[in-house]
Amino acid sequence: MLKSIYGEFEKKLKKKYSQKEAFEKLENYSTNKNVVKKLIENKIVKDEKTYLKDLHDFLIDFTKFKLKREYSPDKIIVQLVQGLEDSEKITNLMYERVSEIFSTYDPEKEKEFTNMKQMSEYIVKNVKQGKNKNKMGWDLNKDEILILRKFSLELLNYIKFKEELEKYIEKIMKKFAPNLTIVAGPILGARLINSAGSLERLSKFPSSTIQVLGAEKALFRHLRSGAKPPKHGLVLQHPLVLAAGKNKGRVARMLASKIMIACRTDYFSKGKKIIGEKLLEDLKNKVKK
Amino acid sequence: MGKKFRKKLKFKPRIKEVEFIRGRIYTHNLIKGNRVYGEKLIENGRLREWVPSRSKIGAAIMKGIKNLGIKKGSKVLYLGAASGTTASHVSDIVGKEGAVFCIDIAYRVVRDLVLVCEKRKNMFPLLADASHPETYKAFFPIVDVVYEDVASKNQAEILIRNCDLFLKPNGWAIIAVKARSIDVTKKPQQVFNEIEKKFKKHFTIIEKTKLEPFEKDHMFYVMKKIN
Repeated sequence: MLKSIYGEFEKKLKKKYSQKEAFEKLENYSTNKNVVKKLIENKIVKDEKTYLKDLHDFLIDFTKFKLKREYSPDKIIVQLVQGLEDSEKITNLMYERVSEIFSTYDPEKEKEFTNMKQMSEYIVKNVKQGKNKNKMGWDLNKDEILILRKFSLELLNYIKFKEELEKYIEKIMKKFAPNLTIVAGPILGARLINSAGSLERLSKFPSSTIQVLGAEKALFRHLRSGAKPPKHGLVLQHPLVLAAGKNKGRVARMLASKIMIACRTDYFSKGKKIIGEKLLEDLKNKVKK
Repeated sequence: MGKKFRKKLKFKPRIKEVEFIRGRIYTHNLIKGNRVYGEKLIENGRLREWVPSRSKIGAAIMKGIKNLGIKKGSKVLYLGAASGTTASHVSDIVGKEGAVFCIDIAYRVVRDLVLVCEKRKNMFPLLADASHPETYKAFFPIVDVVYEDVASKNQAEILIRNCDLFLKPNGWAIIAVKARSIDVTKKPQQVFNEIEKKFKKHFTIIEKTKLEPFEKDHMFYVMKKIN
């Protein structure tokens, strides 16, 4: 089958290849000649009909091979970060409902908690069936209590899953973009890659774009109607920017330039050269001034 | 969107290869009972509905276009096939004798396209960049029709280059021009005028139509190559 497709091409190379090797070569093969016509003229293929029959199976294999080679870690990172954002939304929704149900049972206790993990752990451990001693709280029956406990157990599991996801993103980011991870932190770095699309695109952005990445709405409002430009987008999540008080805009600008240097080193050295710590130290000294 | 338009529709769509029943258009299903994108099937899966709001050729047919170069048995080079929604209808029209060579650059949509092509023997998938036709010149024979639906700035150049390499003399070149992806700041009509000037050097324009209720600021050109 392969022979009829790339017989001409094989003749030129004067060598036989396995299917995988041939695919790799064919990927970079470009020509302006009409190869099919030549194949028929040289009687490698009988006619166009038989050729097309071969071509169908060949192209499906070839395209599948090409699709498999499209893999790169940042495509996974993009998916995982979006998954993280989704799971944040989901846990918030579930927490809202659980706390709402719990507050009907024990309103005072519900007010004490500020952390969703602590609250759901408390419910799973301590809320048992039986009469309610609370003066204000309602007496929920057996089934309702069971539902509340199961609900908070689900929430607890989801929170654990979210933490695992975060840890995994950290791991993959350290390997894939070490400098960006050191300067921006793993989750922020992954979010930046997500909103740029890939590390390649992120490393081609100027630092001013990185600074307002994630604040596109405000940026375009500024460009269109001349409102105030945004000072920071996703970069705001960085602890240094958060702690900067009134100077958030300035720190965001400095941080963006360091992030730019870091992700360019990551992309062009393929994660081998590590200058992240130096960059971060530089940044901290500048911020102190 | 389509409903109101269907009520206003006074003429029958004029393309022979397409069935027209009660304000909707259908193609003869290549594989009986096969569904590609969740569209309606009628007559025991013999006819497949062509949803004009999801397909630019479908929209052009609903707008009453008279000539469509794609006929039974013709070979079509389809640039920007995406997940094979429109391409599957083109493959219905050309039938078992014809061929549709589908090209797209995005790996996400080609993944779906390959699955469609595995079932339909007259569809050929390829992950490639349409602005570099010499990279896939080795595979494809000379074709009768080149159809392009690529939302990129150099739409016209891509069509001209592909037609130079693949289209037979006097073959059909069809394109859906999206004004907004060529220049957002200019008015659509101005963009169309400029692009027509470029086309006139290589093609004769047979027919053109706006795809108004289905797509915004799109112009659909049916052209013939000057040898």
